[in-house]
Amino acid sequence: MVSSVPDTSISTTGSSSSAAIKNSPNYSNVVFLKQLGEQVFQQNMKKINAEFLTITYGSLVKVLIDHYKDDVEKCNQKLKEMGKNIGSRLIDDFYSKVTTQIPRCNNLKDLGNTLSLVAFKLYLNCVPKFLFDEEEKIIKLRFDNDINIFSKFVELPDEYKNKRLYYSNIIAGIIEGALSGIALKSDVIYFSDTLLGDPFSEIHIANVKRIKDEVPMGQ
Amino acid sequence: MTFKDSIGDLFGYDPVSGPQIVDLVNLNKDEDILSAFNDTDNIFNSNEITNTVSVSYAPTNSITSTKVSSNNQITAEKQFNVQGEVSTSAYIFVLLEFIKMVVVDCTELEDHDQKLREIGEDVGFKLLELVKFKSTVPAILPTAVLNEKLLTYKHTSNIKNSSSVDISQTPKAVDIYKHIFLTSSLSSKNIQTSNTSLKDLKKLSILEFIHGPIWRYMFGKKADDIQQLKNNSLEYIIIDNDPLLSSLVLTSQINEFICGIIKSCVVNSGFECFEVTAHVMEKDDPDWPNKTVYVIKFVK
Repeated sequence: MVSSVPDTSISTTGSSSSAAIKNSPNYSNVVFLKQLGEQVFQQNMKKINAEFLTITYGSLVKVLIDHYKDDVEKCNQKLKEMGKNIGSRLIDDFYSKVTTQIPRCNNLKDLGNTLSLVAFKLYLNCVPKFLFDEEEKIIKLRFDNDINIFSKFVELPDEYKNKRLYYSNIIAGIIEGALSGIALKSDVIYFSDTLLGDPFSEIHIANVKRIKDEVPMGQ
Repeated sequence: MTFKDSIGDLFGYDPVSGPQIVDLVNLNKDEDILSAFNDTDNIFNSNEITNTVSVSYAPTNSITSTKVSSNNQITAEKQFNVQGEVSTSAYIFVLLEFIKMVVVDCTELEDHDQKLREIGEDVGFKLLELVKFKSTVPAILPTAVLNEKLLTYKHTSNIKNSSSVDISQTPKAVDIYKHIFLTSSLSSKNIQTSNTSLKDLKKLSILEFIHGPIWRYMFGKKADDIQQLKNNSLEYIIIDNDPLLSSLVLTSQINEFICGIIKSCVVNSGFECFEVTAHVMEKDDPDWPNKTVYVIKFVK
């Protein structure tokens, strides 16, 4: 468990010049992040119909379930693995679009705010509610009101409900992959899902740890 | 003592006499209802539905069922009107990862393109139903627009000014609905509501439906042209000068996917289709290096 929050900067650039920190706007300002997400989404991103993504994702998950012959645990694992692959590529895309404007994350709250207000806004055009567990240092992202784009139009059969198929588990994988891309190790769990009858969908990000830079062997 | 006596004279639904039939004309005259209709503080009247109203996890017990149904209408309206957009890169990330899964993991398959085409057919079937439904049913109007239309109707027919109630002058509910739907400009952003029928009877009409509404639903623009190949009257082509997805990555695989979508749209409309193939015309036009032609072969 990490008791100490990563105190230094955690951006990909890695440079810790004091001038950059001074010039950067106040990070606790949630409104700034909101505006940033909105602005970048409107200006920099090419857009496509959200329902088309939903329908395509549904068919693809169906293929996955067929391939693993109804083995739900393997499906969950595979979805998360695929998410990790996506995330490791997505983080580059993300920084190429916002890095000049985005301020540094100084603690876990900043990280959570950036995830929900900028990252989710940019790619899925939805903003999950960010909750922070002070005691256990867990970042919680809660999808209210069915705003999760992947699970629109979806109803799971009872068979998969009982085996707990996390339909949009790919999001958890994406977050984990993306965080590992900026040298942060974490455990991301799809905690609950409205499709399985839970009151809300929630993603938990726990054990966020900074990977220390190590000199490669032989240098 | 009847059942009605026992419950007293409550306002609302009367189980003995059954549901009350209320004419829209009577509603128009009722001042209370009109004022409630015009009340801007009432959340059910607002154009923008707030995020707080939701039925996602409202209990479906019998006690609260009436409340839930009213909320349900609102979310249905919301889903109908609001066309969300996501970034193209998110779509491509997901699609590419699954193409990779099909190619790498399904080793027992010899023909991966066939599998991708099957996925496309699955998507196309759902797309056809959804777009057909959206384009044939007129968009649900926001309450404020409905109000305006109702007021203009009253103004022209002068119900208020007539001193005595003349049955021949008062409009029927049907007339009012007609007035509302004919005068309102139904302009949805991505789909044309006009010129769409429930079923396409000609080959050309289904091709036009794919070329217009479905293409616009998927890629946000129309395809560029439909042509018939001269020699064979059963072969048609749909031309897209600047394809959105397949011009970026893995052209052949994504084209297989789109061919699957087109094929299942044609087949599920009741036509026999032999196959759909895609060809990239690189040297055809220097302005459009990614120009793609989808050839649709019908069976006679």
